[in-house]
Amino acid sequence: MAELEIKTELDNLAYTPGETLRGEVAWKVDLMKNSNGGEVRLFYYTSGKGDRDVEMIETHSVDIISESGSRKFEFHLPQEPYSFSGKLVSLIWAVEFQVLESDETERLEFVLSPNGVEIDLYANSEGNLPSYSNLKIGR
Amino acid sequence: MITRACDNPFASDRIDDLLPFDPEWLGQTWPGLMGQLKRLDYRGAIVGVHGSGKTTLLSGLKTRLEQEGLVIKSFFLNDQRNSLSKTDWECLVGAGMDERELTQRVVFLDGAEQMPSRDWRRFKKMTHRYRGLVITQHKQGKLPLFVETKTSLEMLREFIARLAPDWDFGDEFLLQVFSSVQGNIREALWRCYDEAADRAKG
Repeated sequence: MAELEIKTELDNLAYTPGETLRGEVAWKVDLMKNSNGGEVRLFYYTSGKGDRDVEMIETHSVDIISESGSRKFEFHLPQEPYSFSGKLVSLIWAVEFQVLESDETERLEFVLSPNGVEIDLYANSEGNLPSYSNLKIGR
Repeated sequence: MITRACDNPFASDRIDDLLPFDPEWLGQTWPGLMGQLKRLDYRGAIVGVHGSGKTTLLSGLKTRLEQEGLVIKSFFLNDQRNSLSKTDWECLVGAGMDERELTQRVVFLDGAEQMPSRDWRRFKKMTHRYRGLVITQHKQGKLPLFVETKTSLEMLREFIARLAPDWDFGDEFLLQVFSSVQGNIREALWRCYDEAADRAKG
């Protein structure tokens, strides 16, 4: 079983639009089973009541030529969308490291927003919103 | 307290991850289901009401058929899209495929009841040379019955226990929800999502 790790520079997990996310992936793998290298991906996805949407932004391939090792990476973050959460949907940014030919992945979530804090739609909503039981989405 | 959609235990991605199709729901096993499909020469219909697990079963079936070396081509219809696109039809022609490729391909049609009769006759004819054709529909017809998906209050209880072991909705809520969704367990889980969100809202 592979051991995978993702670390960002200074362990930062909050970024502003246009900033560069720098980090390092590290692995301990069985080379006999994982000869096709790996990938580091920048993406965002939605989670909540509706279907999950995933948008892949950028991918870097990683040569895995030794059973353990590490490699630095960097992604130039786009201007949007911002990280947010409401009652019906959350938008989450993440970096994922996958060893190809296996289902082994490691994911690190981070926040992308102007002030580095996830936008809380619920906190910023009006107090007299209808009950969510009365709302229909997705169909 | 849940304040983020992604933390709701009934979020759809959690449902997909934690509740893959389990043949035990139908008192079956995967070898039993696969044997049944083979006896039907890979041509059959999964029949069941909305939200009873037909698409979830197709997903599990895809994995198992691919493990047998077969290639799956899936089509999806619903009440907003009741016909195949020109590209879909062109794909069905299988231009450039040799005999071996054709006999390795199984076609899935999810939502077959949406397809107009004339299209269905054409579709069935075009897929005849493929290894198999598995469809989902709400009522029997079109193809021999492969399996009928069913739901129960017990299933709903089990799903909730798996998704949200710390939540207690109470029997009255579960009974009321299950009786109002007419077997549509997906809709029942959406009601649980709403309930969890509303409780957080206070």
